[in-house]
Amino acid sequence: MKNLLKIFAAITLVWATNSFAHNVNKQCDVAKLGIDKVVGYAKVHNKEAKAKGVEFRRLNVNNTDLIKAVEDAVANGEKTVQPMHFKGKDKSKTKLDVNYAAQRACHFAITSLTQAKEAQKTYKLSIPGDGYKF
Amino acid sequence: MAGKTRIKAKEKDGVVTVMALAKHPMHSSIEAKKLKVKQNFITHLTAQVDGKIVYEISSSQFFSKDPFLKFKYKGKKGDKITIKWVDILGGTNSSDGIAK
Amino acid sequence: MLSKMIKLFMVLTIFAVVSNAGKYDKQAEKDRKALVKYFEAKFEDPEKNRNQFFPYSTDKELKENITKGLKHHDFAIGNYAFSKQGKVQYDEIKEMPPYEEFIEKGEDIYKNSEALKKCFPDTKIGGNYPYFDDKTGKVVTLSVAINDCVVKAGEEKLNLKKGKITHIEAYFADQTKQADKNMDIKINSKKAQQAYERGKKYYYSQRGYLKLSCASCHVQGAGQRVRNESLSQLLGHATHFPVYRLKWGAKSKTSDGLGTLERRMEGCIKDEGQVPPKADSKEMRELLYFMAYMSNGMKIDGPDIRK
Repeated sequence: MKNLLKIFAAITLVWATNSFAHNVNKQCDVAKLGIDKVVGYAKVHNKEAKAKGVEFRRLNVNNTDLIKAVEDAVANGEKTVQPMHFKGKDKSKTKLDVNYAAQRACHFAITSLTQAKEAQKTYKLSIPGDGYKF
Repeated sequence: MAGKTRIKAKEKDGVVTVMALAKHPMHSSIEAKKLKVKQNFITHLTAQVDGKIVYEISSSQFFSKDPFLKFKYKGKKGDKITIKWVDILGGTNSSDGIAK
Repeated sequence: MLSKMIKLFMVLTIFAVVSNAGKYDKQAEKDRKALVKYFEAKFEDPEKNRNQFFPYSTDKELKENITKGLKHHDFAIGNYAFSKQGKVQYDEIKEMPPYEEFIEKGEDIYKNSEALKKCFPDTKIGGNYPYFDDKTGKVVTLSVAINDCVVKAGEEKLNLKKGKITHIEAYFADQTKQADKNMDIKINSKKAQQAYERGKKYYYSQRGYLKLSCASCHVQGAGQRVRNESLSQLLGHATHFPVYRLKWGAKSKTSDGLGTLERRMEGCIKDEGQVPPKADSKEMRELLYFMAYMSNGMKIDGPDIRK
């Protein structure tokens, strides 16, 4: 009984960590998962990225605004998105297909986190005096 | 926008070297169109000492914003140099500097 | 006998305290000295050492446009230190630089502000910021210090990146420059050391859509080009602020092209493809702390012109 409980706990743990694992292939595929799930993953991971200060901005669009644009488009049944410029006053010049935008937002959210984690291990390699050889 | 001209003047061996930084947007026709403003640039500028013109230019769109000028004339320490300009919209400015 | 022992004990204690006081900046000094060594090695003979330092540069560029034999203090003027074409233009504009009127404006503001005169009785403090405040456990940059000062006196808070604050900083920088003072950042406690290390980590970590670290361009990439822009080196980056950027001056109606270090860093981080940290955030302050320390010992030469 005890052993069964242990195995069950271990499986739950593995499942839990995988659900919130950062995997662009598993979590950003719109064709496989549907746009709502992908947007869901994008939102969760981008929230963490924002809290850690590593949120992406590309072509004057913050990832948060890209996600919002996708959500609005899905709600209104639109096929394209035009997210807000990061300054918050006007729309950006970026126009994207809604499915591509969702996948992109998801990629940006996850990559910013995996990259930040990777940087923890690699940053010293470029410091003259603390890891960089020349 | 337009403002006073900064003047630096130094005398050496009877020659005064003057450096001046005028303040003017100097919008060319293309710039003015892009910014949706009236085209405006300095058309005529003179430097005078004791009522005598020591430097004079006609200018146009080729000068960019806040034109910088450098010229020399025969003069002495203490000269009061007056730089006056007029632009295409009729705006003017007159500023003074002392040769050191 | 006892008095002798007490004397010896006092001498040993003082020695221990003094030798320990220097230990918090030990790694920082190592980093700084290695950085100087790196840039001096890099620009000693770019043509000869092209395989190690300039693998993508053309023969023509290395032969004709990069100055060699640069030493520590030459690096204060950014990429004008090594770019011959840039230096010619830089020297010309320094004959009558467009920031002069703003130094005067800053002097005016200072002399008419009781608050500023009280907070900054000595104006030659350009080389002392940022510093680590042991009481609050935070890094304090010059912009933050000026803003805190005026807000405390009941005045309206200032934009930490451009406008009035840069005029005040320009006056302080010019006063410091005229007094011939150097960048002199201190690391005097364990917490300060940790703040320095965090700033250093931020600088060297890859980030953003373009996965660039600050070092990608300004340490390993210094001297190389991004399209037609020569990348400047980290050494000397913090000595010349507030900086008058010709780009900022061109789009300002009052030709006010001045910006604080916070303003410039915001632009840099944006260029890496990441949302930049706010001007008075912990990350920004500690990043500036690290950057300023790297320029320790170099003359304060602000405000200065950059593209």
